[in-house]
Amino acid sequence: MTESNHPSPYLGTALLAGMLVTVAAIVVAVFVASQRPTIIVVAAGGSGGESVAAVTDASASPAGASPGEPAPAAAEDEAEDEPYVLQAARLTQLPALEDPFHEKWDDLPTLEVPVEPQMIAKPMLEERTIEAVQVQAATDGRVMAWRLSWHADAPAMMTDTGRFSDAVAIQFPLEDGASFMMGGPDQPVQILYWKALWERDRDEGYQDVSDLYPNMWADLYWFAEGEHPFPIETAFDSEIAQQWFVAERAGNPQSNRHRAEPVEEMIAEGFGTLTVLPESHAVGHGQWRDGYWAVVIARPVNLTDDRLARRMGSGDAQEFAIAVWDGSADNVGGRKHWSAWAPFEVMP
Amino acid sequence: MPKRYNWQLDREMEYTYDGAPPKRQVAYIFDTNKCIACQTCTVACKTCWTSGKGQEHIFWNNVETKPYGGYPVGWDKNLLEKTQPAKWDGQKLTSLTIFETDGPNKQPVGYRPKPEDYASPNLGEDEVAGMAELGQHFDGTHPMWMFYLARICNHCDHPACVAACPRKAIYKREEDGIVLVDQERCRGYQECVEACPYKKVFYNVINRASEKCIGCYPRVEQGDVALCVESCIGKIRMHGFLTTDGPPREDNPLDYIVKIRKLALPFYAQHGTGPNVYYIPPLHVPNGFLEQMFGPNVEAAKELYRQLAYDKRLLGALLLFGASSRIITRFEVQGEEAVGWDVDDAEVARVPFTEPVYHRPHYDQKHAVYRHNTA
Repeated sequence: MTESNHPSPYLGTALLAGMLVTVAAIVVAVFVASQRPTIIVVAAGGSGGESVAAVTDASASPAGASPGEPAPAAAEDEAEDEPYVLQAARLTQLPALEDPFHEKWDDLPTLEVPVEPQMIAKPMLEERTIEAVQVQAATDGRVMAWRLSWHADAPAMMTDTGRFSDAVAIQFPLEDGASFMMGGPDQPVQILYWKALWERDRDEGYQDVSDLYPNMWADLYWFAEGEHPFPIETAFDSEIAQQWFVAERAGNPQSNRHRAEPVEEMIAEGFGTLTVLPESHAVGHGQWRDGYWAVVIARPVNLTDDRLARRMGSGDAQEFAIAVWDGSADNVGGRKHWSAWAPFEVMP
Repeated sequence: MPKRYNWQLDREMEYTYDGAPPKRQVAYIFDTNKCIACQTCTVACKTCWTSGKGQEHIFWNNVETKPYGGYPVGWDKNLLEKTQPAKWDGQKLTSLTIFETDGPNKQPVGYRPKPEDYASPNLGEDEVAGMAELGQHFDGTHPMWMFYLARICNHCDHPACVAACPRKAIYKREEDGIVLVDQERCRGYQECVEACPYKKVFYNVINRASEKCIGCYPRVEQGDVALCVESCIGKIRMHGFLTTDGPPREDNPLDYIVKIRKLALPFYAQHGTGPNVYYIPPLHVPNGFLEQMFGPNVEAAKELYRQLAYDKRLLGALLLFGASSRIITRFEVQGEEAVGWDVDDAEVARVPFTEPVYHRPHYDQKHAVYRHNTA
């Protein structure tokens, strides 16, 4: 095993099995010592061999292969010399947002982005349950659409004490050199975050107490209108009945019962600084099918995304990073799987 | 991690944050010997603060029967099983707190209750510790003891919920030490629910944020006691402030009872959070159980309580329990009366040591009626 410091900002190729402990130890050590996020590139590939790019191409996969499934060995061999970079396709028409499993996605390049349990900041994730996220991107020049897919035995889409939702997020640096670890002071990152719970809210109505506990009973809800079980959607419309919805009344985005999209746009400048943007331009839709989530998040490129708009088609690589939460394994907040920066470029 | 002095443990302790103590610390004294578990406090709190949708399972105030009761079920036992048994060298704790057990990069030791653990707030109510055997008689402590334990948030000196929140969405107020969840910033990660040793932070499934006892801060800001304190029909509670900017004051009833006389004891102090609800231990309960719960000073506190009749100043302070809906910040014994003043230095309570006896004759001449005791 050999390690060397490279100026290249891409950690992606380093994140291969067998290297993880060493890399994590170095990152932690440097992070602790310098109090600054650190990027380390490790020449990987078994015992000192060539770096193996984790690129897979949908065209090399057998027809009908499930999304998120690792590409066959032959395809990996073929891809060995491919650079670790996501090619964002230019399309005249994007696949329908409402269908994350749209067949059009099968023809687009895929980058398999390995993810790691978050072990830098408290609270940490102790156990890995997700290996990688398959990432695709496409643009029609106005909107950039990202498709994120990963394996999940069963979807987790509800919330309760000790019950958490699946989720996925894609992150972009807003300043050069921003840390993939949620940015840092004056080095903000932008995050597009999708949550399965919100998808369920949209499809089945805002999750109510009786969705969790069908036999629930409450003697009294002050000023509620209607009858038991006093649905949250209809019984608490008056201001006086909403007095106990304190977080909602305080404007907490978590408590938004009228969310238009299952996606939230946020910025962060380091751990614990995640802030929901008042205006979100991102739209999205996720679907679970046959052991896989497929989530499409789309966003106009020219609104606030200066960096992306400026560099589109310029040949300059952009960066993104992925975070993914396995609700069934109590992933929530910092207890997540995450990736380092991965490069993408919009095809000319 | 910074070191902080924890006076309840008589030693320094590791804690996530450093910082000056609040200007004064909100604190409560509950006399377990007087509580009858009528739950008036529970209802007063719930009716006012937690009767909305998503709060069905949330009781910021609850009263449980020890040893078997607990809300959420097994909250105390579940944590004790994950921590070292408390060891005291005199007044000093030699075992590790929840902040020290797993090391600096870990969350405080805790556990997350299951939803069903909140479903039976009265489980174990009125159950005693053991069966009465033939010929058994009372000899000072009851072998089949039980007692009622009223519980609210402890508005700790070193809150585990504050330490656990990765978003710093929980904070301790500078002006009075009340601990609050920022309802605007909370993202419902439930780290606080897991970390609080007393399980007094709750997750609300409708708001999708965590909620906790707010110490009735809108009332405290007006100088009024919390609703659970005002509504207590047994007058078991006193609500006030501990002095933090100097030595304990003899004329502050909280300082006097808790810090100077040590009649009321911190609750599971070994966890290290510096809890601020102080309990007068129940006289009839064996010390073994009580020392696990209230620390090494149980027998001394019991002895003080037994001698109250000869301890006029301490008794005077206790007479002010439930005597006013105003927070009493200063008290004095004047002759045969205990007198209390509020934050504005207005006299708000004057309680005689001996209740006056009124003799009312069988025949009332003024109204020309007979009095009798039956309806």
